[in-house]
Amino acid sequence: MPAPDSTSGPAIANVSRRGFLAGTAVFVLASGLPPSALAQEKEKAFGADAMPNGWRDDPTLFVAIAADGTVTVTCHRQEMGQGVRTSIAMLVADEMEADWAKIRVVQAHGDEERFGNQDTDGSRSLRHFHMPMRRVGATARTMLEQAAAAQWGVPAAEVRAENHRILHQASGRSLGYGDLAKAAAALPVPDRAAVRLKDPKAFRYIGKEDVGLVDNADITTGKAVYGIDVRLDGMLYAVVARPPVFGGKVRRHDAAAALKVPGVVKVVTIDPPEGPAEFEPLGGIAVVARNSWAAIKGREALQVEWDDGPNAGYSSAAYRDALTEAARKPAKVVREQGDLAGAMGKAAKRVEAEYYIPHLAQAPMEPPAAVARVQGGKAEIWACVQAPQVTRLRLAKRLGLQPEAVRVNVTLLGGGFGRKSKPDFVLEAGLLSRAMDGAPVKLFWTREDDLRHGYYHAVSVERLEAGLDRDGRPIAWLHRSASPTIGSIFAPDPKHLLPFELGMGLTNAPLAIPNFRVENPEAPAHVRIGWYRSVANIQHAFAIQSFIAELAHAAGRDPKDYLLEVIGPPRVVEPTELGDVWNHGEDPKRYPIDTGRLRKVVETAAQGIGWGRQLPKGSGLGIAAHYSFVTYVAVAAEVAVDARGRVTIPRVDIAVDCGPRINPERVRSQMEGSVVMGVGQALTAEISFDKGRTVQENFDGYVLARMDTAPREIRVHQIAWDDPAMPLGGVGEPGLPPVVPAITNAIFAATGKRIRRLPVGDQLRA
Amino acid sequence: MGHVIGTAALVLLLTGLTGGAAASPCGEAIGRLQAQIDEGAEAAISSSSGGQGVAGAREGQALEAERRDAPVREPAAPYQKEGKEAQAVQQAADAASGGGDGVMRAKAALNRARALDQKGDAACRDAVAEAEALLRGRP
Repeated sequence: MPAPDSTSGPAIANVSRRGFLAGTAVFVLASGLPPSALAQEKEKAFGADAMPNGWRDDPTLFVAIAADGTVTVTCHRQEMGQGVRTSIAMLVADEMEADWAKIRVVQAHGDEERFGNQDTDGSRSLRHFHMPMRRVGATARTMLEQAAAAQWGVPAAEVRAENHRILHQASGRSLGYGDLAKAAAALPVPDRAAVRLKDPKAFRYIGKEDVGLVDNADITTGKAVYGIDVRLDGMLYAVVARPPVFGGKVRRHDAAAALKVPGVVKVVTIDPPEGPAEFEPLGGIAVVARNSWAAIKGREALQVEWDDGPNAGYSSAAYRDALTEAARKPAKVVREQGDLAGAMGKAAKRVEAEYYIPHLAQAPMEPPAAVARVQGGKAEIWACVQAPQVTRLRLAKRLGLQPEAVRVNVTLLGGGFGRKSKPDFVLEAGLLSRAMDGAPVKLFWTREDDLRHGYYHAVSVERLEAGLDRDGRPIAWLHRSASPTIGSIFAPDPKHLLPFELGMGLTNAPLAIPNFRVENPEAPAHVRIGWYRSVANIQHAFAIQSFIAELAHAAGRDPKDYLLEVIGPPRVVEPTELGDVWNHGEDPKRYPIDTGRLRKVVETAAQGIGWGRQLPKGSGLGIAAHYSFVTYVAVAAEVAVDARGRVTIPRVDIAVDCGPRINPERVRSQMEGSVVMGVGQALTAEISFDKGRTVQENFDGYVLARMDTAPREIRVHQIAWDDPAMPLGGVGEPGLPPVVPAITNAIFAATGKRIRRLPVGDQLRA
Repeated sequence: MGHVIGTAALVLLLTGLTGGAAASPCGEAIGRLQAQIDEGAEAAISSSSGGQGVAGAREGQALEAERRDAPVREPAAPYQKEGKEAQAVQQAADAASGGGDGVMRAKAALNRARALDQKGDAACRDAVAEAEALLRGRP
């Protein structure tokens, strides 16, 4: 496969901007950086406005038109299967009134000052950028209209764009976009106020289901280039022997045997970080070779004696006990309403439960990989990274280069799930290329590397206590969430969860319970804790939605009816009233919590699966709902448990309300993917530690959903909204949190066995 | 869309309280602090932005700075060029009371004060003082 070359233009769609500009385009809107766009926001800002450097309301950076009419859209968000390259292009093309057949997409390199924020996390690519991208398209259309009007000597108001042409109806004249590109490029970019957005009724692509992925053909024919696919002339290959225990380091090593392996070129020491882990390499001994097999065999031949460091005794079993003990004691209060003690004292019945959620690994199908070429005071990177500008700045700092001397070319990502937001592997590649005097080096992680040395989803013990009145309604609720924080990779030894982690379904849980307290016990981290698709919502949703079902059982009530009662009447609540201080970065007034919408998805999922229908013995229905990433999702699951305790899932209905939908086909696929991922979490996935080392090292131990456990049928119900002015919700992550409790609630309905420890594993075996 | 009902109103609705039965030893202080907390909550949301990466980095460093009662360190994760990112983290530490941690806990303390105040319990003053201290970044 040819290497993508940033100067000559690659053979794949991920062309560099520089390469593209040097190529065939004759209409490239100027690329100046208006000072106002770079000005620091002085007032409070939310969403994309609050991101570093704000967003760039500048069409010149995102659209180019070639003489043949081909429209090239530069996508500044990273593609990892969620279809963002297609969705971004749909927004631009629709407003441009472009012919979809003439649209191509290139991937932006990492440059935040040029493209605006590029961190593809938080389920916000479209939430934050759909309006800027619409304006990009509308501005380009306006300039084409102005150019045509000038050429014909008619008022601009008399011309209009239609399907890649500008028409003058009065004279019957028309010109194609390619014909107008050069003249339009010479015009000044109009002010935002002068740009007319399309009437949503005229949308051709936005909100439609028939737009295929722009990368489909390349992916299905093997032409797509992922990080692991990049090849450069003279490229070397490298793997790293990293400390098996987080915080460990090399005590001594002997590379003699490794250097005797045919193809091994050099053995290089990488120093561990001195402070918090953040995105630094873990350190260790790298083996650089002429091919990947030699690198792997060379690593096997290394003789390394490790100092395991302060986490040598980390054991999941003992840590679970420690978290449980912490969760049984009063702790830091992070949310309080009413009089918890008084209400508990008056309760007719009290219920308590503890839930355990293990570490998880993102385990993207493509493990981390990067190619680096560091020479002549410059660095060029090709990598599957979710955050290219962070990668650029972090690498520049580690190599002692100016950020402008570092270019990060982003490939397709074979899955990300948060792992590829952390560019430690790119830094490894950069350090090795420098150590090899500038030779390009492909640094790759094996599956074992990925599972042994990850940024793990936090292990958690969730303890809940409730007091019920005589009618079985909850009048008091105490939730203690004990879990190590993601903050531990950024600051030395923090003990408590950060506000944004608590704001993932805990401090913003919209439950109609008058006396409510949330506490957060101390929980030190012993491994790198990182974000994983939907993050802390996973444990919070599992615990809360399981506990509500337990309360329903204690009250002798139908779980779905009880869930609706606990959600309470339809109402709109600002999350800050509840105690949340994150709200996914969104304005709490523009993005309040609407419990009517939460109720609606519950009712929709229940209706979809036929809630209340009779099922054979050993089968059951479960339901759960969760609000996250400003989107409402409910899941209803049907499970069957056989006499040996084996779980199958005949059907899942998932209902989602994410506000207006840009790309409904992608909404559906993200929900389907969430269900499949959630099945793995529920039934089999667990990362555990013994003596500081991971017990699971490959997919035989870390078992994700497979063909035999995946639901036979997934039905996605999308709540449709006609109001395009409504704010968008996220899509990539919010489908996941309610999947696990829906399944475990269904298992309870089928067997009477309550699952309080994930994964289910062999807990149902007789 | 549902009706707009605030949490406090919902609590009253659910508990059947009608209010006004007891004197309000902390009413004025609670009202004053509530406005500060609302402002701080919005500042916290704004300063930690939308993604988990930026939020984790800024809140983590801001909280550490508050814990040590010291200026923020050099930013660990460069979500923008260092000078700007240092400013952003400092803003998260200052305006949002430790990346929002102080505001969040102050809100909890103030709600406790409110519950005590509704019962006419003078212990609400201690809870108000706690909320004030948390907002000042001195728990």
